[in-house]
Amino acid sequence: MVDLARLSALRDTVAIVGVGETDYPEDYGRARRGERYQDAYGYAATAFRRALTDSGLERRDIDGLVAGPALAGERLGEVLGMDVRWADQADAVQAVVKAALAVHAGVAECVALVYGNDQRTGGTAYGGPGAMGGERHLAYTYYAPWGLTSQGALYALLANRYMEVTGLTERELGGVAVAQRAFARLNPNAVMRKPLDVEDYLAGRYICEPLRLFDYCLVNDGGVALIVTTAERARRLRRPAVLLSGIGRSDHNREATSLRPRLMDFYRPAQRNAAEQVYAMAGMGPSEVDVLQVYDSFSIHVPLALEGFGFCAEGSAGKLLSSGDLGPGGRLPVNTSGGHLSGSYMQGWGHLAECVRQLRGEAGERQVPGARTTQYISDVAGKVTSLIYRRARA
Amino acid sequence: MTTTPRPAPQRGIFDEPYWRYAAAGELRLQRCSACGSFRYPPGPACPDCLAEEHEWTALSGRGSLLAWTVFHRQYFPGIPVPYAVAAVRTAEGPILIGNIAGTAVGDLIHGMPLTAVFEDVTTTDGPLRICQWTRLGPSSTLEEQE
Repeated sequence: MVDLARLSALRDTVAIVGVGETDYPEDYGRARRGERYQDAYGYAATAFRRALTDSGLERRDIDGLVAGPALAGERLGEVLGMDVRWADQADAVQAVVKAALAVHAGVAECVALVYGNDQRTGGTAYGGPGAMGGERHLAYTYYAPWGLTSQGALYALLANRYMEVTGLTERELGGVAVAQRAFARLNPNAVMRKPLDVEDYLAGRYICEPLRLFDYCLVNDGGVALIVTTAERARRLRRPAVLLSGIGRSDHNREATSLRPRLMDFYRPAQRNAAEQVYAMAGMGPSEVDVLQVYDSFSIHVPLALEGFGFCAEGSAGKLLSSGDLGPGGRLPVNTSGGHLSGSYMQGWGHLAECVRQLRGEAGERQVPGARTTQYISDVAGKVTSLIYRRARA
Repeated sequence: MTTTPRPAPQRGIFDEPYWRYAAAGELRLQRCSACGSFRYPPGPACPDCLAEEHEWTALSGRGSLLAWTVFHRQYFPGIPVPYAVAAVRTAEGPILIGNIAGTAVGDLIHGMPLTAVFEDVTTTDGPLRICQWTRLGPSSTLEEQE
């Protein structure tokens, strides 16, 4: 059972004080031209350098290091010249959770979370017999004899079933890509900035039906880094501190390979559990979220998150998606950097950075006015984690 | 009979009996001897009661169409697009993946009754008999589909 008293002791005690990202459009342009000017560690080093500068800390202050999934911890420490007293390896959302726990427990005071990936120039295959992630998610490769591999195909199966159960239309689903593209157009560091309306979306080719080109994430090279430290130390630094107010997590692994939680439950039980925990810890509910970031390898993640976390009733997301409320000026801005669909596929790390930028009020033209609370929801194949951040009071 | 080379299955040590039965034209799944729960994919322990003991139980071969997707991107040279992949809810409960034989993609309907048929294919590791599905009807037989 969740011990709310212990969880609450962690609330607002850990801060994000630095963010750094690489130049995604340039990374993309070079990759498209076949130029390999960085490897995963090169992108990681650029992002780390920028996050460190942003934080105002010195490299010698960093005593903890979390390496992203495409990096080996030892090599990352070697490249960045860092001998730390605590280190770990994690995906985006777990990197924040682990760093927060480490800082809270006192095993490290300043932790760098570093991601770099040369997945585009490196030719990472997300479909086919050796599909990426098959070693962690059996379903990604287990059904290869029937021609079923790739995360996209599994989410397409989910979308097919979800549309049947809820009545969601392809046009409504297009609202996700359209809203995120509208935000991307306001973000100079988003890759896809050409206008996209729902007719353009519907004219896009199917990849795995019912999912189209614009429902798929934009695989790109790049890097992201964040610096996490105590709230006390954050107050002495120059940037406005962003505090971690809530953590929620729940896994849905039973019968994962046979796709039952995906196709029968849409991962709702895990989403509900994670929602209950994150809101209880943060002491708030979905109506108080100013900016929402949703892990969006595929557009269909967005309606699942909106329903699973109580932003709308189960089965009713379609209207919200096509209402314009998720886009610039809308009542519930989602994936304000353009997300994975139009920004850059940084496996959730870019969403973490965007949470911070919005709360600091430094998101430029895409800034949501007066944003005080952001939430990140990450559901990768039923491993649901959510984080809530608040801007520290000055 | 098709000779299209398909990707070979991943075969862990618990998968062998499944493929041995499939080669004999039988759809059998691993089932817990202690509590009766099916395990698919096969594994070392019952997720319900953690017992190790199991038997390989024949399924009725009846199911219904739970969901499908149509591949338009070619991931496998041996499988020309477009092609449909279906998730089939068997009468016994477990969900199995297969292709639908003899029904055009546009005619697929959620919940349509299906029956298991075996198809001999060529994979990158050699010949293999795989379980497929076809619309269940009074005149529907494997021979008719081919």
